[in-house]
Amino acid sequence: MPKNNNLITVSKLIPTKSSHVVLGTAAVPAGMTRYVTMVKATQVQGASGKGSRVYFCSAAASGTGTNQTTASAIQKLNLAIPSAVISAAPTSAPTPIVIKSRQVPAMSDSENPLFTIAESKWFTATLSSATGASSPVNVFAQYYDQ
Amino acid sequence: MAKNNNLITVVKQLPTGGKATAIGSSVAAGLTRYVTFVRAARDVLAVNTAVGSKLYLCEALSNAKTSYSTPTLASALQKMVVVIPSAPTADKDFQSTPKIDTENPLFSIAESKFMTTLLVSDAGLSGAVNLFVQYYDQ
Repeated sequence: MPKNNNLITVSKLIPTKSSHVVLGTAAVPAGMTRYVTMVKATQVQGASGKGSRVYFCSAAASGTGTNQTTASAIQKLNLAIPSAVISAAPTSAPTPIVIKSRQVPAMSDSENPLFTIAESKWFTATLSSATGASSPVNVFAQYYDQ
Repeated sequence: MAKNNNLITVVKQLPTGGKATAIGSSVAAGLTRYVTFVRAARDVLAVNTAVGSKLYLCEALSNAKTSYSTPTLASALQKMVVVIPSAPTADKDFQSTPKIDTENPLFSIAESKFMTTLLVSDAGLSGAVNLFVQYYDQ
């Protein structure tokens, strides 16, 4: 695949549980494929103690996949951010270390996509509604259409 | 190897130890399945995640679970083993390579075979996993 330099990045906030955002301004144009090269989800809350799960989806319409059940069915990838990660073996009172970001892959490479979205489909992201998995997140995606 | 742009990705939920499942259909005649990227993340959001996971990625003759449903069977067919440590401090997000390279696959599955996976049921290694696999057939 020749290198596509027309990389598009999008960063969006998903502020409430079971809500979704469209990544990109429109559906994938006819005759093209959307190559997603990197996705990242970062929790936006300051305090620890809550997790998040984000589904990155290939949706038939911009409004499809707006809840956890439908998003799970059309997911291309999901990222789970734990509520916290303990800093040491819990022999006494462990100190939580807040790791609030997940990224796949660790290094982006525009010539080697992570997954694809077919023509006419929409690239969307949905935040879970499950208790402990619905803390607001900022999602970042890098892609190109070719 | 010429680059193949027809990438296929599969997400599988392995909720409990002992879960065995096929990933995709059998490889078509005359083709080889090239697996380029594997991600296995402990599917847990709680703080005290002192449970790890171990899963086998196998090349099986059929998708019948009886052929890869135990660690003994699966290890004989294994193409790759993923171990996620149990320690709460450990990184619970395994990625086969930091960078995807579709021209240099991790492993391959021969024609007519199935790619399958088994999450073991051993204590401490049977935590739920969300599995993501990228591959193409060529």
